[in-house]
Amino acid sequence: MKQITILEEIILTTILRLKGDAYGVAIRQKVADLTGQDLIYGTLYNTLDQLFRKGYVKKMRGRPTPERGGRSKIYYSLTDQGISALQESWELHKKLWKGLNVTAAEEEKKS
Amino acid sequence: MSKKSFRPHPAFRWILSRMRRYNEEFLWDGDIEEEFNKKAAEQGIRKAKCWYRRQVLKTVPSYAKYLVWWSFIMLRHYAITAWRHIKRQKIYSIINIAGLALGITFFILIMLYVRFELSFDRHNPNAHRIYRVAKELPAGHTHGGKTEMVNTTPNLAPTLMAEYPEVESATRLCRRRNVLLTHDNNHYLEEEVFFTDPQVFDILSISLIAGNPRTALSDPLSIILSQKTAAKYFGNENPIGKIVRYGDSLELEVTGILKNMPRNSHFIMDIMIPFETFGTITNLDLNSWQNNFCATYILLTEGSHPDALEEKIPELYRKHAKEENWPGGRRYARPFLQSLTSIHLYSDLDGELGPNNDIKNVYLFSTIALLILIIACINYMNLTTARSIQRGKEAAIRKIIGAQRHHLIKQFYGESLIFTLIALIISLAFAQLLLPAFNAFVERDLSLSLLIHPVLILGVFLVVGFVSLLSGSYPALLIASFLPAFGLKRPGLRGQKGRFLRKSLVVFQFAVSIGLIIGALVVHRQLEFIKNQDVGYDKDQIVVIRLHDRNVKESLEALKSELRAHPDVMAVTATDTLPNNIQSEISPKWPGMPEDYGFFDIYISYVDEEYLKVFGMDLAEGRNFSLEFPSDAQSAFIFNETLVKTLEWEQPLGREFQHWDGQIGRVVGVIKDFNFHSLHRHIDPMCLYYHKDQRWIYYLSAKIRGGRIPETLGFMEKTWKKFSPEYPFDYSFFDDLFDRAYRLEQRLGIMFRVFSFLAVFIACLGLFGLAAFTAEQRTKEIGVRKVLGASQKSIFVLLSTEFAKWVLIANAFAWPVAYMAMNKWLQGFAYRAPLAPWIFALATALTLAVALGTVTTQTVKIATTNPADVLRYE
Repeated sequence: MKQITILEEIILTTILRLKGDAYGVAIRQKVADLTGQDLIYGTLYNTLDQLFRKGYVKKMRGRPTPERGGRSKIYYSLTDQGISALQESWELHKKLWKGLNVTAAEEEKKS
Repeated sequence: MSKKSFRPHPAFRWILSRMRRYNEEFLWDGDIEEEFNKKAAEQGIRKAKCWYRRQVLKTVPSYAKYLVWWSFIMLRHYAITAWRHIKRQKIYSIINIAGLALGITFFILIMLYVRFELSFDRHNPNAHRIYRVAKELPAGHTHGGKTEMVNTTPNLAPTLMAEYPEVESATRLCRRRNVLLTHDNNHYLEEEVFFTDPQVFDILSISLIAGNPRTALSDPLSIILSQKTAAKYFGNENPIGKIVRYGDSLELEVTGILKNMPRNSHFIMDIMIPFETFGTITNLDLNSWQNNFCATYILLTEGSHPDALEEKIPELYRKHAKEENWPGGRRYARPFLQSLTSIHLYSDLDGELGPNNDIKNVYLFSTIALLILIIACINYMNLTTARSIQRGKEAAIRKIIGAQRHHLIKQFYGESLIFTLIALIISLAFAQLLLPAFNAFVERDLSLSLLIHPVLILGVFLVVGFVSLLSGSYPALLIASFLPAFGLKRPGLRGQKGRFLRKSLVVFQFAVSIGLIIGALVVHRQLEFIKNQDVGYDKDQIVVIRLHDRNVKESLEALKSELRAHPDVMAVTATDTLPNNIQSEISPKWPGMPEDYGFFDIYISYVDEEYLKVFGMDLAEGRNFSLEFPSDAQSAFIFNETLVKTLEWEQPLGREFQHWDGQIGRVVGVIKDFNFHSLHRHIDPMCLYYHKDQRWIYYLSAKIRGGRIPETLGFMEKTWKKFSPEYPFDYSFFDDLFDRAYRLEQRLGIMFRVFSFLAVFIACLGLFGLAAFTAEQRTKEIGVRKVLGASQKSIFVLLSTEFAKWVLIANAFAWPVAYMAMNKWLQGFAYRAPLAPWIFALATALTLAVALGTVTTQTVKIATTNPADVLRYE
């Protein structure tokens, strides 16, 4: 399985976090809340498109709402593949961080 | 805050919609609208709008990346498909590319030529302010066959400069031809030597690479040589201060080296001498308002209007000149200005300083090049559509897989672009190969490096774009519109509506070809006609020697009798001009002429007693000039029949007539009319004049016996050297000189021949492709016909008739146009071969034969196929 990028990871976790309510506006908002990054819609959808191609997310068309000018929302949710990709990423992180303490390393350097 | 406030700027909306086109999933304008509304409610509409714009703009780079990536993939894919097609269908591809390459080659060559012709004198930064003063002759008068002339009085330039503030500078310029210059006992016969004022440096864009333009022409005994000429005379030595002898005695000091003038100047000076010296050499009065012998070039001040000056010039003449020289008088009607840049292409006056071109030639060349290019494009269109049999299937599959119409259109345009680019590269190589021949043909020195010019490079790309667009359009639009089901089921058969267009394109191709063939035939026939026309004199076995040497002229009689002594020299005559081009004119004048007798031009040639013998002319009545009549030696005339008729003299023999210098002679004979101009013109009144003044004699013509011509020429040269050790023996054969007068027509003939061949060739390439197309389309039909009992022969006839029909329809268009055009061209000749119907028939027969020959291989192929093979799968 290919590794996912950090941006993909951010979006995948956000979708997971949002459960059934993961559509464009909500994802962007959540990412901003969590990381402080103000994602551009183009970037967001490019990444979503990539994830969709890779088969990590699936899409579902919601109902059109008036505040969207009559356009329907597209809800994203993780596929099994997406979940296992996240799992793998988590495993990787764990391996990478095992026995490391960045704060300690920084203090060491300072002293 | 109202909810309806969401109204993004159209530009942003457009960007958004462009992005969405590439991926339907990007339905994010819904998201963006929702968030916009929220932001507007919370932070105000202005901030929300800012946010919105930032979102859209920041997205552009990532989409651009996306777009480039995918279009690159598609492009690579199209290129691979195109390349596979080229390889799989070699013959089609070769025909296709060859046709295009030929078309583009000629287009490039002609574009080079046209650009060069249009560039004449434009390198001069002041070109828009420079004019030449020329003048019109009174109605009914001609000089050298022209009604307008370059030459003006030498007083005009200085007077204009002195009296009119708008004339910033003015120069006189005149030319002598065939001048012998000597340096260090090396003799050079210079074709042209120019006499001019120092102001010429202010006006024409010429510069000295050595010497001072202010002073180089101030000493009358100075001479300026061009780099080229200086190298010829002095090699690597420094020429400044060296002495060059003009003619026999005039010693001139080299005071400057002229930078070689660019070849796109309407005349090229290699040798310049101060204008005053012209007076010394010719004994002409340089302060006379009477004589007109030099060109006048003026530089106007910035902003002054040439028309205003033109109107003022007659007034200047009234102030200075005698009444008979006033504009509107007997000698000339009107002075006028010609802008410098118009001279090369629009001016055809008497006394032009260089060989000018005619804008009509430029148009003719461009039109034909464009026609050839269009024929080549049509070719491509026809062949590609014909290939749609296979391509239809491909297109259908592409559509099923999900290609949009615009994808297919792009693919086919892309393919034609690839073909055009390949053709362009090949044609550049072709053009380089053909350039020497082409240069010889148009008498220019063009090179492909002329193409390296922003405008031309742009032009080449425009042509490539134009060609690929034009030739790609039809296949692209047609094939892209195939319905997938049709394409798969009966590929190619959907061409019903395309059939008419295709046919009309072929008809157009053949119409152009037939038109060009008719043109070629007519020009060829007219040239043959001219060659065989009885002009009234012999052209063969006459050697013409040019007399530049004044010393020879003084001992002319001795030279003549020495030449006559040779057994193979039958007769020798000394004349001012040759009988195919008599240019001098006098006006009718004789003792007792009525005062109110009208005025007309009588052409005159200065000849001697053997003139009639050399050129084999016949007398209608009277006798030839003869040494036995002492009165002839004073002066005597022989009239031509037209002159007798025009004068309405019942009995011309023995009557007195007056030469322009006042000398009165008797008419001793009447000569049968002969064509002393080109056959463009009718025979005008003319007389031969006999006298012993050798000033005007420039040609020595000798009729020689055939058989030992080289020996005879050797003898003549030896004799010549005895009389003129310095001047070269400059001889030609009269029939060559005669033909040379029709060089323009010969060139036209060659051009028509080449282009008609090319057009027929390219059209046949296209026809071949179409025949293959039809053959494949109709195999089943033919199969059924054969099963029902049609013979091979009848099927062959059936198919051939169809192609023949196209060619015949093409005739209907080509004939009238060709008839009108060629008729107009022939009007330019007073003597012409009639436009015989057989010319048209021959052109048609030729095209028909070539066309049928081309399609025969294909028709035979399907006529002989076994019906079982083609019907098996139904």
